[in-house]
Amino acid sequence: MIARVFLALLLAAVPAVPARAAADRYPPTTLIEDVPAQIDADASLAGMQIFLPAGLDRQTSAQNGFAALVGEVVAQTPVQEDGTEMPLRDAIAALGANLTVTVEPEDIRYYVEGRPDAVVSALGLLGTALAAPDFSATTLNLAKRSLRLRIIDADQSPFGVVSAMLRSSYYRGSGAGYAPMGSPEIVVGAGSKALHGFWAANYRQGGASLAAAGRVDARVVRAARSAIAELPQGLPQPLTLQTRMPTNPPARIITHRDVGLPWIGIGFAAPAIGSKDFAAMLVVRAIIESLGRTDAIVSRPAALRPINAAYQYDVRPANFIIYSSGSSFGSPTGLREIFAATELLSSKPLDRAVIARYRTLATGEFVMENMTLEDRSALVGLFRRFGLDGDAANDVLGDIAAVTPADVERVVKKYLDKYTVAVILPRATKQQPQH
Amino acid sequence: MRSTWRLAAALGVLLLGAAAAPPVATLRLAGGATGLVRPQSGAPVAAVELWFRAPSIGFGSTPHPGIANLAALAVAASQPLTGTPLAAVVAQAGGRFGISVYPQTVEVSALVPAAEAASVLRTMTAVYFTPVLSQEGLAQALSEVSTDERLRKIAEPEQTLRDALFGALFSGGADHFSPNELSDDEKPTLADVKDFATRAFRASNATVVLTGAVDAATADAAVPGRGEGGAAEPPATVAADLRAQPQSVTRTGPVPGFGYAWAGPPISDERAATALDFVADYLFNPETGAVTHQLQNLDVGLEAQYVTYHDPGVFYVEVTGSQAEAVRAKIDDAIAAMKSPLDAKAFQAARLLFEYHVMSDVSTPLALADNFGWYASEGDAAYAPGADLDGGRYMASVRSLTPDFVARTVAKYLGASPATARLKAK
Repeated sequence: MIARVFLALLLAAVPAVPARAAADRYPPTTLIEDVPAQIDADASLAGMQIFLPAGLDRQTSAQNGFAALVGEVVAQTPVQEDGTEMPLRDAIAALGANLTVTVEPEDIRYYVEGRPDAVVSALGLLGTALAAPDFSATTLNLAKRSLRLRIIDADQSPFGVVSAMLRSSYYRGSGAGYAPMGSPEIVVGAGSKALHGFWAANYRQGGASLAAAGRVDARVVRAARSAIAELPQGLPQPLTLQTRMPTNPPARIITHRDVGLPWIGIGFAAPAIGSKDFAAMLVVRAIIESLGRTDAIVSRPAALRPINAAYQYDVRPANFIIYSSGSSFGSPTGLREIFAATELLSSKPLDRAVIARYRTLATGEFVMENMTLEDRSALVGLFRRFGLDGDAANDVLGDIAAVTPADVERVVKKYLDKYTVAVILPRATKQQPQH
Repeated sequence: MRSTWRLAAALGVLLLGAAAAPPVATLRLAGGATGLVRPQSGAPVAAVELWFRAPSIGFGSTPHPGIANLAALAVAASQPLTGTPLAAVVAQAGGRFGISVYPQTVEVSALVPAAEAASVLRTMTAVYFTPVLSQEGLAQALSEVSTDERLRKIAEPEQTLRDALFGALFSGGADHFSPNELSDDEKPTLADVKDFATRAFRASNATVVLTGAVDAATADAAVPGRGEGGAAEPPATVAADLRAQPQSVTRTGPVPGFGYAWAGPPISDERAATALDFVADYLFNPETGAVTHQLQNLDVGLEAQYVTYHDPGVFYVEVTGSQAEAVRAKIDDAIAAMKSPLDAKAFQAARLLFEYHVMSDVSTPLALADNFGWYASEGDAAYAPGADLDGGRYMASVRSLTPDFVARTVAKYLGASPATARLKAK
């Protein structure tokens, strides 16, 4: 196996076809009335993100699930559309648009996509619901039921479980590491008054930000501004995320789930987006993932690859997770392969021709994980919230192209030396999900 | 010869979009391949696809189930004249490589960073238009087919149901057989696979689709291959293979389930085909479908689609999971109810949402390329929903729909007895 690592590292770089510069870049980030946007003149759809600082990190342990539940309450809040009262999500669908609510470590994202006219109307409805969510028993019960089903689904994803275990350990003392959908017990028991309190503390005009992609124009931006203008004034309390750095020897966390094989995740600290190490870390991720490449003729989904890596850079500090199912980790072979590779990378610079190959892989991964209107508007919004204005998405591509062997060596030494291990073991008896 | 003859302007086949959408350029490429190129702004990625008209069971009178899939995989796995197997070239370019086989078509696709598009197109056309097949490549392809079969049996009960439904709806021909599974009796030999590949994977039988961060000049990278020409295989009319009385079949799978399949209108009946697309979306869209909403709290998976084949199309509904049988009546009632017109307000909202879903479904380069490739291979490229979006024929069909027409179409096609399949849990 270790021989495979060396083989992979020593493979010759593939000669690249000369690039056509314009096509190799994202559309430039444009400011529309100070809202960052990647505009696609040829698109039919517009995508608008509203970020509110009401994400996981705003939750105490007794509120683990409140961020997602308030988001779902907003989506289920009755609004008037064409003379009929219906839940916000259905009303937006009736306009020919779509609402997606995503809970992130530091924010909750409300994303509306559709034709520009439909998005303008949908944002009007969203503003109404954001400003006055319906915490009545009827709506709250609908929201709880919807969220509970998603918690059950998330709990059946081994990567989701491993990721939550490692992030909870890393962001100890903060809700940022909680599972995005929260704890089922807390969701079931959440009362209207407590949820209203969470909303009142965090849904404020002052903390909101916007970003867009696609066929966006000033009308769409103004509609989004109007939506957040309906929120109470003021700013949420400032927060600074605390982390507990991985240690050497590593801490180990073990849990049991209905899985056929054991799963293992290894969690590391990681450089923040915008830092000088960010692009090099993307290249390191590409190197680690290439260890998981199989002999399959067609590309396989991540879940079917023996070794995978996830770099969560939408939060500061960021984190990096290597994970795998038991087929390769059940024996120590898979672990050995990873650590042999990281030892090699931290002790000796890569050959210059070889790193060109991994830069290509890293570029591919970055552009493919930031491809849809939703991905791209979220990325642009992330840059804005982290103070990285200008053409940051294209800057990342340029930075990847400039990563040197020394950069990779430095980043591996700095971040991959200390880690936490999370293990999922199969339960002795299978539990039935409660639907 | 590497030049591209751009016939688009001469033939006047530039299909201008409604907004500022760039036109779809239809090109005649070296070696006789048809090129469809649709630049799309956005992420710097490109989809590069080859579509071939070729029956999944082979061209001969004796069916070889799964031979198209095996051949497509074996060509990708074999060491080509250019040196590195295609799948490795795409992986090294930071891209994703896929092969999909349908009853009458083979799709080879790559999604790659834009800078790699021309290089991958050059390799892909070199590999497929002059297919080299080695015993090692065939062995790897056989292994991949076997792995896929095991995975499908464990994790994709809906695919098992679909294969069963097509077998129950069609008495013979490619549509009767699973396009992915090899016959248990006799595996194709290297000579069989070579014969198939030689006839199927010709430039003159191919549609090259390029979308995303591409332009017409990207197509110059396509190579002609053997260049022996010959006519393209025609889109297949398989209506003659429809059973007079669709069958009911039972299979085993990881979970219980059931499914229905009906023959629908041909691709040429654009309005009726669009109406059945609308019905599938209105009832069964995974997020917004009327039936989907009713099943939200149950342990069931729901999959339904109208597949616009050349002639006939197929409408199928599949339900899997421990509570599948308990929801059968809801499915039956929902389909029966569609024989009556929706009220005007509900219809208007559903049609608006359908328009959004159509546009959303073709908003990424890979989805758009799949869309063009499919409709071109089935014989009606200009009807592809992605062709011109707002200004195209598909959207015109959507806007022509009325509650009465949808109800009549449902009564005509989904009022007949369907083929049915039942999945028994092991």
